[in-house]
Amino acid sequence: MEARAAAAARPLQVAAIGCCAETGFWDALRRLKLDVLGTDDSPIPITGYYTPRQYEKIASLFRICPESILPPSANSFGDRNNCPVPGTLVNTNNKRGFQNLDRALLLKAEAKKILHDITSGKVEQDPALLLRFLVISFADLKNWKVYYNVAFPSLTFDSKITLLSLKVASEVLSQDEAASLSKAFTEWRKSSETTVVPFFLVNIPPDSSATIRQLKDWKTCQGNGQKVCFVPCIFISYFCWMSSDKSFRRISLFTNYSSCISLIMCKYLDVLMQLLFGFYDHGNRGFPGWALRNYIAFVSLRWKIEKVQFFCYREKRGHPDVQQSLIGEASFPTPHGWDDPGYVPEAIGWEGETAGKESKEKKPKEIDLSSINPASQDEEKQ
Amino acid sequence: MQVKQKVYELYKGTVERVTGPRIVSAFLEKGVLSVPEFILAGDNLVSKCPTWSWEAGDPSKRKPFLPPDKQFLVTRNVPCLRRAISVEEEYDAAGAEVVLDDDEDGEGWLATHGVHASKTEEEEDIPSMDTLDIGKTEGIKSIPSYFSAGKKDGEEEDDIPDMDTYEDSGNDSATAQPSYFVAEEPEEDNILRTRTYDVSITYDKYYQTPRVWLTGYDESRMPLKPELVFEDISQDHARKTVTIEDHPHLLAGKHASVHPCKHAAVMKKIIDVLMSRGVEPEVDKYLFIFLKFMASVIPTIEYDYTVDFDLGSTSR
Repeated sequence: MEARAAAAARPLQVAAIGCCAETGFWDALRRLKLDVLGTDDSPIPITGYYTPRQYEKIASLFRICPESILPPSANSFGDRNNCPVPGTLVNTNNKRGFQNLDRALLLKAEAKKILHDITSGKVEQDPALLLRFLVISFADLKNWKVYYNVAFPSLTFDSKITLLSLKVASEVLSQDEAASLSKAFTEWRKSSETTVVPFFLVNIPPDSSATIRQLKDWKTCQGNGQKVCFVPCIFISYFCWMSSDKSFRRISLFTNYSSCISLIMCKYLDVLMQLLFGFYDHGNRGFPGWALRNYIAFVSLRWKIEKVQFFCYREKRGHPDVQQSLIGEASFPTPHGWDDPGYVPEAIGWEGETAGKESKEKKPKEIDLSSINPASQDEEKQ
Repeated sequence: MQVKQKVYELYKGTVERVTGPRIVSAFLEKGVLSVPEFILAGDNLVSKCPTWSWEAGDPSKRKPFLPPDKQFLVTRNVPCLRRAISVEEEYDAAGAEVVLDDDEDGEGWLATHGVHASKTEEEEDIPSMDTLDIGKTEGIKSIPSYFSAGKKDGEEEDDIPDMDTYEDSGNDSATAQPSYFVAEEPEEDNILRTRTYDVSITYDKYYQTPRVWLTGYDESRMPLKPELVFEDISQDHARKTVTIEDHPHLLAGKHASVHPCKHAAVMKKIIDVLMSRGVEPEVDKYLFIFLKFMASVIPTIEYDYTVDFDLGSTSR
């Protein structure tokens, strides 16, 4: 009822991420288990690979592949189509062990890591930490089968994220802005240093030359980085812009004082819109991707910004796609209790789990590895 | 069959071991690629079509004649919305003919309907490569049901800017279920589930040409059985030129591959056609031409080989 009253405002809905676990990953796990792990079933750090949407028809997938068996710190693999993300693998020794895993608890433990990385500032140095994932599995090596589930932990708090607006980027941006933003993104994606960074700051100043900065540059973007300075900064940057000669002439045309004020107000809103929290969006169609939820939590908890303008970056065949990238605004009132050291956040994110259904008997995904069984390769069967 | 293939692989492997990789260019004369030319063409593909990237593959399978970080090219999660087999049936039903005028000796390798199919489907996806139309373009006929299928997808996509249409469902779910969660299917018709492919290109030292490999995934992102991959291969080629083998750079799984035995001959033919039109193709464009040619074998796998520039220098 309330949502209906507040015209466009509605609860934020995001599109879930799908995971593609390659046969090669399970083969690598099989080798690791036989050669190194044995019956040791303690969690091991692994790497997953994330990418913005590349084809307009389908969402991009989160990938785990042979290279994934190592943690990001020991793994040099990564490129524009494979942004490395840290994850945890819990591989059990038998089916019962797999079934008995406390999924909710495991998910919370990962969520706690994410919350810790947010509050400690680690996310600014390594934004991919917001995308942390969890894999649980039972590798039935005797029968060449693997049962597994994947989760993308997403923090939930006692306050909810409200979506205030959402539009495709090409509707919000002028042609010049869109062109300059595409240029900036092309450069960002070309550089091997930045292309693997899935979260960033998008700055579209009124002079239309857009820039993309790393999260760690937030403070330089915002003076001393305090919220109280945020608005004054905008005014200062606005007046700086106004005094640049080109615009000044335009302003001076206004003899009517009130229209000048309204122009200022209008431009003030523009300036407000100029800093966007951008991220690689895996999804297609009208919903922002899953990554946005943890991102908003980060911006709110770490930088105390309750109203977040965000940019969902998508590509078309590997090039920036302003036609389907989204620009939106969400509000997230600061939740309670999260800064208590003992606080364990709630989390959601098991792949394939539908909302509202508290089904603990989740069906595992099953993968048949018989194609890599040397014994079966000579037989012409199945 | 299996034994024959094994013996053949053994023979091929031995020949590959004792002969050095090609270094001298014979691109225009024979349609083959030298190793440096493969890297040059690969670099160009990656730079023009960034969905492709170079990869190292498994270290134990590294080919010493290629740079360690540029062993093969790959593009992943490529949509394959329709089965090639059904497209062909509809194409045949529509009475269209498979014409290839340039192919006078009846080799029949370049069935043009695959090229047609990709053209009719998504006009914006495939900018004109007019210089490369090997067959008679006049022969293209529309495939009615194909069009309508494409249109349906188009409509779904057109919904994107219109956020208001989602508003009601958002409100409903706010009460009915936790508001934060869009499960896989917020509305069933809103999510497109489709087969996808990882397409990779390796360098085949024996045939001195690139070679295409396919790894398929079904609608729920589970690996596709190689037999099912044949549904996405033009029926002129399925089970004849496409075989299921071990990938030269990956350890696990069986992968479908378009056998490269005729690649050089076909590439030579395409090059001759281009030359007869006064276009001398540059070797760094080899993979664009090659991928266009591959589209006749795997017509519905929508990998990117978009080019918006000339294929070569015009000599006339």
